[in-house]
Amino acid sequence: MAEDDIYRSSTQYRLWSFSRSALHELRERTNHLAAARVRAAFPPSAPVPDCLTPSEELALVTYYCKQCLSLGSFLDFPTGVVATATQYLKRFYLTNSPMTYHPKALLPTALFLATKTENHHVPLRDFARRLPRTEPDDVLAPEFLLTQGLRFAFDVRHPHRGLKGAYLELRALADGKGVAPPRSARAGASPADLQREMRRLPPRSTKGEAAATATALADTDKDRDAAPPAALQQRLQDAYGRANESLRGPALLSDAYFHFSPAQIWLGALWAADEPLARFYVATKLPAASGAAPTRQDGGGGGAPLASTKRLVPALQACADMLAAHSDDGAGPSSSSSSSATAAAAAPGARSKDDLVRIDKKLYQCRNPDKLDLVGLNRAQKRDQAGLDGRLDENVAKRRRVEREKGEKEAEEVFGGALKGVGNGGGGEDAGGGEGTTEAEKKEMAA
Amino acid sequence: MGADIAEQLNEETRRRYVKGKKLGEGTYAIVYRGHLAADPAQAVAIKKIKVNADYKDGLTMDAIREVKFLQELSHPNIIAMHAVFSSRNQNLNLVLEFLPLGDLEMLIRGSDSVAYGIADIKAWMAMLARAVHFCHSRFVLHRDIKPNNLLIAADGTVKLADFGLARGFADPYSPMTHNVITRWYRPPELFFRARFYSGAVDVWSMGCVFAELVMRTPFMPGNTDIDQVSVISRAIGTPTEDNWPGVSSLEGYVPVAKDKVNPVQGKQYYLGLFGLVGPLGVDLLMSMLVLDPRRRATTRKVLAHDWWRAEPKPTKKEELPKKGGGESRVGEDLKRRGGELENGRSDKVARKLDFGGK
Ligand SMILES: Nc1ncnc2c1ncn2[C@@H]1O[C@H](COP(=O)(O)OP(=O)(O)O)[C@@H](O)[C@H]1O
Repeated sequence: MAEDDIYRSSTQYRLWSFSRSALHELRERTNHLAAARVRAAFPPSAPVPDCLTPSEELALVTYYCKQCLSLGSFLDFPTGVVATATQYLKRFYLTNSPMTYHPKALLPTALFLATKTENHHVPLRDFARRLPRTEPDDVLAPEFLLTQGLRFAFDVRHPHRGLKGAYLELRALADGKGVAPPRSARAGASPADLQREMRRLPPRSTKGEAAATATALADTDKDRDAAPPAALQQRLQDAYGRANESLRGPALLSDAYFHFSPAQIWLGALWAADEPLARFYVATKLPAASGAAPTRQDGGGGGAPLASTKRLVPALQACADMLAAHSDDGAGPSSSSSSSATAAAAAPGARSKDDLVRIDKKLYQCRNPDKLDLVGLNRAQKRDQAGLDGRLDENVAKRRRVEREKGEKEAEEVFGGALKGVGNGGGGEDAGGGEGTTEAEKKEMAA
Repeated sequence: MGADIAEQLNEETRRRYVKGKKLGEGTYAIVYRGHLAADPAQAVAIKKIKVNADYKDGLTMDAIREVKFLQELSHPNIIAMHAVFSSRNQNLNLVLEFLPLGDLEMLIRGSDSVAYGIADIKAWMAMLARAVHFCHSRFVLHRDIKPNNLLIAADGTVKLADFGLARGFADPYSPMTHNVITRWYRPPELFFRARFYSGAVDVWSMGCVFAELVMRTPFMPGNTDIDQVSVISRAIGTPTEDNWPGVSSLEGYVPVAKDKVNPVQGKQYYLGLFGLVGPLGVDLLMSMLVLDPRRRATTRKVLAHDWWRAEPKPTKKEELPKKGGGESRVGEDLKRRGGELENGRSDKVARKLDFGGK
């Protein structure tokens, strides 16, 4: 993980960084707890609801994060606001289940809170007015819940600015105006040397040629023709553009923020965009192998917490894989062309629209009936009413029926025309077929 | 029935502390004494954010900023936030380190005046400078530095507190509000409505605190925002294109007739007022109170100044003069400050108008 002191002291690192297994376990636990609560909340006479699996929950959350991106750009919010809002959702749903709180209800709240924490406060009325069928109360009701789920840590560190810094540094290097700091692998090289080296970088590989590139890079480039300055500038611009795209989408939708530091994420994005270029950049920054671990002192770049190339490269590769796995996320059925097993496993959001519709329908059968009316719950809790639970219990059965019916309609709205193609509007108890059921069964057995 | 993990975590945090009697009340919070449930000897302050009925947008910006920044900043001269939890009726509670010895304002102007000297001022200022440098190195502006936001720990350490107006400034293209910092400590660029500013705003405030520590009365106490600009012009000099290139293009800049321009005060003038701290101290003070924010000292420059190493050496913190009494003083302090508000000090003006964000 990160070496950098500032990053280490951040809540992003202290509270919101996980190993893959820890993250997996946390999601399992959250799902398990929520499912138990759903079952307990249904009257014994009712059929046992078929609960969502952790991977179905994740798919749903990822979908709503994507909706958050669209909503954010529709509202013309700055990147920082939208990026923070998606991470709020992702963080919130590590310890809360969509079965308890529907992501659709939390999405406007996350976005609104992000406007406040990212210095882009929009008055609530104006904000609510711009959303369909949303009252100010709907936005505010889950705010407290959200802040609690965020463990009152509002700061989210993003990779965007770091990438911009690196881009500017690379441009300077391409112009023959860059230097490599003393302990980096390229220390001592003159600006002209660096420029020459940069012009002779092997072309960026397309998928599947990564290994070949690595060798090509090793037996350097004496014979290769130097790229003309304009071509190099174009290459930089393209790489920056692609990397930026992945910071605005895949980086936010994947689990990248939970596993990697901001610097690793933007370097990972650059790696995925143009690996030889990223390797060259890293060499101008870091020693080849650690030993005397340098303290970071380069002015640009955004304070990358990096120790040495040797330690960094596997992390960058893993991050690049994770971003690549999410790069076609949402464009229909997953067509992940990545051969890496980790990459495939890291793309849980890559579900087809049909599958998402199925999950959303399933959710309407297993939502926690006690937590449906967030506005009412919030009001009651503010008044600190004790008799709350009892009062809700009386209404549970009726409410559930109403919600089920309403749920189907809403699903139709959220997923648009897709529902028509699916047919089976009845959406019976056995809505979840295939993988979902098996996983649910496994969970049952484990319980 | 089990609670969600998030709820459980919150519950665990809440149970770790016991809330005691009320210590004081600020604009947006009530502060209680508290202690660790497991160890009553471990005192804390619990700051409960008041629900603001006039604010229709949920959690207030004050609370968000304070929590956001205190969560990230950990430094010996910045008030430590041990935890945050919510109570059942949705009140936000900040568990802060307990700082029983009041604040710098009480030391400067306490009713039973505390005697202190240059070495003490040097120690206090050094702690302030380190705190602000730390904030700036983390790309955080405090934007409300003043003596009563500098609290004092039981061992005499000064702690920068009240991050309700703080904000990040890593993005140089993002405009900020000019309506921050309590008037007497607010730099000229903010009166001219600069939207892009930097750590220099806090350094100006530090200069004002420095001057106040020496004079034992506020250095530039303007009565209104407009008055404050003339107070600054008289005390330091009239901002002009000559001493501050580009100033006339700031939105709120009002040109001053040539015969009304006060020249920037020279070292002799400062030596007359602040000679106590010696020529080096005066040099440092002047560098913090430069009109042009681009030429004002940065915290790095402040910390590198020779004054800190010159005689007299800063007092060791255990030996710093203290206001006796602690808690009983807190009450007095509150009364006193209420009075000041009536005298037009309007401490909280900036904060109240700042809800618009930016
Ligand atoms: N960490 C602390 N330790 C002890 N007392 C404190 C602490 N923080 C605040 N107080 C007391 O509570 C009062 C109100 O605090 P606060 O809301 O921060 O004040 P203000 O709005 O006046 O700056 C303060 O005047 C102070 O006396």
